[in-house]
Order: sequence, then structure tokens, then C-alpha cells
Amino acid sequence: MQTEFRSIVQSEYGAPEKVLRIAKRYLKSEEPGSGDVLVKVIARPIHRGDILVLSALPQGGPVAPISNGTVRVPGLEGVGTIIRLGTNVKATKKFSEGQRVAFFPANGSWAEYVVVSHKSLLTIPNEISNQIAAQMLVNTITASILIKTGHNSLKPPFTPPVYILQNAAASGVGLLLAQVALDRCVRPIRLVRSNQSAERLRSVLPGPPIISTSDSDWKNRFAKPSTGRPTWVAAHGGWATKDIC
Amino acid sequence: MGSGPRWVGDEGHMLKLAYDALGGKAIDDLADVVDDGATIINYGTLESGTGANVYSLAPNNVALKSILIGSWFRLPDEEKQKDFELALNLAKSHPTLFQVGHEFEFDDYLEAIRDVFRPGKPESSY
Repeated sequence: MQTEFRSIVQSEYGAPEKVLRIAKRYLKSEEPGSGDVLVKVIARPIHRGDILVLSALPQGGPVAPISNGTVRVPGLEGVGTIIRLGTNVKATKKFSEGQRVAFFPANGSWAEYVVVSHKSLLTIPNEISNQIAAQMLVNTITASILIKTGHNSLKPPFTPPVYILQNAAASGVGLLLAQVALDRCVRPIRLVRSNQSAERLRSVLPGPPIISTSDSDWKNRFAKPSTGRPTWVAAHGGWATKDIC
Repeated sequence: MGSGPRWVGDEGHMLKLAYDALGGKAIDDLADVVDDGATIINYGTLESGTGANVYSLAPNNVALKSILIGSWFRLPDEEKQKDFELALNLAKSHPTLFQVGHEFEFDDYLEAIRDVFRPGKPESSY
């Protein structure tokens, strides 16, 4: 008997409410390809990037055409339980059926089942919740790409510590970017758009300076010493990570 | 704010690198406060959906780069695995950095999508 499952599908690109629908689909086979794994999805995140892509907005990058008579299932990330292992995956003994895994990239995680390459899997220990496991890969990978790209953009010689400035610092990626930076002895200066966001950010990740761009004079924090205006650090008493790095 | 060096640290270090997730005028603002020859790396258009004003980059000789997560797919498997391990370590050591917003039933996917655009919200899942 074929397993029936639900999937969010689109047969054309456009606004979500116009192009998305739930479709019943069937697993063609419960035996995945030799290097693949069949995963029953527990939860999947919705990233803004998902919406940009399914809407084919230019900010999401180029999209593959959807052929006539076929559908696209959005979603690249999620957490789920391994149902079946492909033969080659079994041989590696890295994964087992019933194991909880996070995955990225997957071809269509906005479904109840998805087939994923074993290279896209990460075993999740019990201490990590489904809510975190479902979203931990894309945002961390983005933060990592940003750190690497930033590092490669700095022209040597430069003397540590390196300072970075980041806006949207209270966003999911913004939080991780700051933490990864701190772990590498880079000192973030964090911009947010409201005092409310600043308070929220301070409670989640205290330490590095936070500036609200809702303050009309926020740019004055970056004045050079020769102007006689206080530098950012002098005005705010140093860095929480100074003792670590 | 004019060109020339601007010192942001008490040890005399310059601000040569900025990250932008907003696009539009936010890039102008970053270009205005970084130091001469800095790089701004854009990775989103959270707010504006508009492009950058390239003329705002000129006064401080700022370079602008834009990245998408697609560049990660071209990395060797070992590099990708390191990022997976990074995610695992962060999730274990700093779970509060992974902000959990609302959770929705599968059938409520449109409501979940609308929630993504609620200002100041963490991640949504369904």
C-alpha cells in the first residue's frame, strides 16, 4: 500500500496566497535512492528567503522553471525522523532508522515526508528541541558565510581586534553572526531599529554594544577622536568580551 | 559625515567591515559611518526591497558585496560539515540565540507565512 501524505505545492511562481495549495501525494517507494534517506518531517521553518523564492522575487535569486504538469514543493530545511535508509547510507552506519535529524538542503521540506541526501543530515541530540533543530542550519550557515566573506574582504595587514558593524542585529541571523564573531575575537557593533529591539537583543545576547537607529544622533557614536566627540567605546565603557579575547 | 579615518575603538582600530540585512537606505547609513575603503556585505532586504544607492558608497570608497546562501552549495563537503558542527555547537551552547516564534499546524501554512512578515518576530515553523 502506498503511503499518502500532505504537501504544500505550487505549479507556478507568485504570491503565496495565490499559488500555494495543499496536495495529497504518495510515496512512490519507501526505498530511497542508495545515498538518500526518507525522513518524516516533524517541523520546518519559514524563512523570508523561502517566500522570496516561491514568489520568484529577484532578491531570492534565480529560480528553476516549473514544468507543465509538475509541481514544486518549497522548503529546504527542517527536522524529522529517519524512516528508511538507502543501501549506501546503511553501509556507513552513521545513521539509523528512527533517529532524529536536522536537514539542509532538502528538495521540498514543506511536506510531511521528504527524501534527503545523507550529506544533508545532522543527527540531533535529545537536548536540542524540534523548534531549534528545525531552523538551526540555514541561519548558522548564513552567519558562517558572512564571517568568511567578511574575513576575505579585509585587506591585510589589519591588527586585531577587528570591529564589525551589523544592522538587523536582533534578527535570527544577526544574533548568530554576533555570537560567531565574538567566538572568533571579532567585536560586533550592533544596530537595531528601535529601543524595544535593543532591549530584546540585550536580554538575549548581552555584551557587545547596541545602537538604536531610531535615535536621531546615532551616527555621532562613530565620530573620530579628532572631532572632540567621544568614541563609541570611550562613551560606553568597553567591551564585555575584552577579558576573553 | 565626510571622509577620512574614523576610529571606533579605544585601541585605535578602524571600522572596515559592515553587514547589511535591510537594503536600501540602510546601506547608505552604513556607508556613511564606516571607514575609508570599507566593505559592506549585504545579505537581505528585510525592510526595503529596494536596491542600493551606489552614490552613497563613493564618499568613503566603500565596496558593496551581496551574497545568497546558494554560494554555500559550492563549498567542499568538509567545509559544509564544519558548518553543521558549528550549528550543533551553537544550538547546544547558546540555545536562546535560536528564537522560536509561533508554531502552526500544517494546514495553517498561510497564517504561518503571514507571521513571517510581522515586524520584530523570531522564526516561525509549522
